[in-house]
Amino acid sequence: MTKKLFELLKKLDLIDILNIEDSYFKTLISKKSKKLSKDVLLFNYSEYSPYAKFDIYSNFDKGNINLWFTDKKQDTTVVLPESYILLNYLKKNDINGLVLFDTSPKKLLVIKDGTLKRQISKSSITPYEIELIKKEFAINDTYKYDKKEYENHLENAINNISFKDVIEFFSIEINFKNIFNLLIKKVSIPLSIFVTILLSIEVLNYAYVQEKLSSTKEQYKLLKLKTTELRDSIYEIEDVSNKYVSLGKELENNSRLIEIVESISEVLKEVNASFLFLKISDADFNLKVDTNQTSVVFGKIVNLGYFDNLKIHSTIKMRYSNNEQVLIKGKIK
Amino acid sequence: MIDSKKTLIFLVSLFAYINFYVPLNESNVKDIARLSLYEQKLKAENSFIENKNEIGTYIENSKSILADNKKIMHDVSMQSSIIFNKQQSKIKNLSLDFNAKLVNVLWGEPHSVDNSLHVNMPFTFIVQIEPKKLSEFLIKLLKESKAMTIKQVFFVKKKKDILVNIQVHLLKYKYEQS
Repeated sequence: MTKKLFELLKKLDLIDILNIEDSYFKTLISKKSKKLSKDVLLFNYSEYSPYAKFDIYSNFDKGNINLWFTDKKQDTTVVLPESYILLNYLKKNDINGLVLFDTSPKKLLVIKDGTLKRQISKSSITPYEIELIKKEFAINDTYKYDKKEYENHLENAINNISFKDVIEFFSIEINFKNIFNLLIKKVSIPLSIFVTILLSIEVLNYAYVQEKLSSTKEQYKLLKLKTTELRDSIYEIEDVSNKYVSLGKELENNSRLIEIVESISEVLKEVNASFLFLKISDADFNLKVDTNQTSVVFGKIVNLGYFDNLKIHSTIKMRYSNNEQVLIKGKIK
Repeated sequence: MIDSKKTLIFLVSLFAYINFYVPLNESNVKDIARLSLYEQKLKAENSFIENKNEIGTYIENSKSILADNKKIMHDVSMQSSIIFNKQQSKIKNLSLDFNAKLVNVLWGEPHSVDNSLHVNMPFTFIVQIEPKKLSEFLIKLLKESKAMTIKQVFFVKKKKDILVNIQVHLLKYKYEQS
């Protein structure tokens, strides 16, 4: 990972480094090497924490579990302990022994057989203390680096961070509180800017539309006043014209009625039937005839095509002839 | 730890969006649609004014046509009894022409339907006529009379003749001016 990428991720609160001076390190023997959740870590290793309220980070290394306790709550997704990344870098350079960084405060790492045994951060470390630590861990070599060298090592250590390291310390607690916190943290400012811009645009738009609408309405009212008289005359003409059209349709029925009477008269002549009465009232049609060819008369009247629901309503057989008096009813189409 | 300042900003932004932006936006969308409608109306009015002269001519011509149309009905200034009487004489003369006999005449009460152009004057008459002359009689009656609507016809055989009972509405124009 390049320093630039690291800085970018740090800016986005996705990665951070847990400084030696902000943490307490403890290494314990562990047979298991499966990554443990935060709850399990807290349940099993709380007793080793020097802090009352704390957070915990861990990794497994050659049969040991390394624990970093800190009382500083970090909201980032990946927290890499400084001693861990320095160890990885120093290991690559075959450094084993006591490593002292002359910074403020001073930082001390104990590396033995490629594993981190202890980390210490103090304002001052005496040579006597250094000797005691060397004896305790049975190590001979001491490496001392000044502030500039420390900074170089740290930069190299950051460049040395691998994807495996990130995965090892990746931790995300999915709960609504976290999500809400994250949301608030990331979204609140951009959202407020976005809403302010949107609202401003909408308010300006509102003012423009209202002004335009009001002036257009006023203009329309004035124009409409000018055309009202003409418009009313047109409406009146249209109204009267429509009435004439419907009257015309009614008058057309007169000639249709005469046409029906003539057609019926023709039919009766053709079949030599004698007419008794014919009544046409609105759409109702009633015809009574004297004939000996009832079905022929009825068929011919149906074929005229003027009527709907035409039917033979009644027939009366005459006593002294073959004739019948037939009453036909129907509706004019 | 919840960042209370940022939470407040978040909630205020959300509140402003829901309570101010959304209603304002809806109102703007509606007003823009109204504005577009008014602009179209304005365009139509302008075009109306541009064609004012042609429209005026159209109105005058239409009025003159409608004034001619009303002549198909009886004159509004005529009394109903005179109209009935005229129609009765016309049928009587027509009956004489067709060698028919006017048996009965009945005048009804003039009435009008709302918004119609005319007053309906019910008129019923009974004529005894030869069957073969019936159609021609009816055609001539319609041709020689002012506009009328046939409401009911009833033909019944009487010996060699036919008794014709016809109920019509004579039409009298309702308004002074169209």
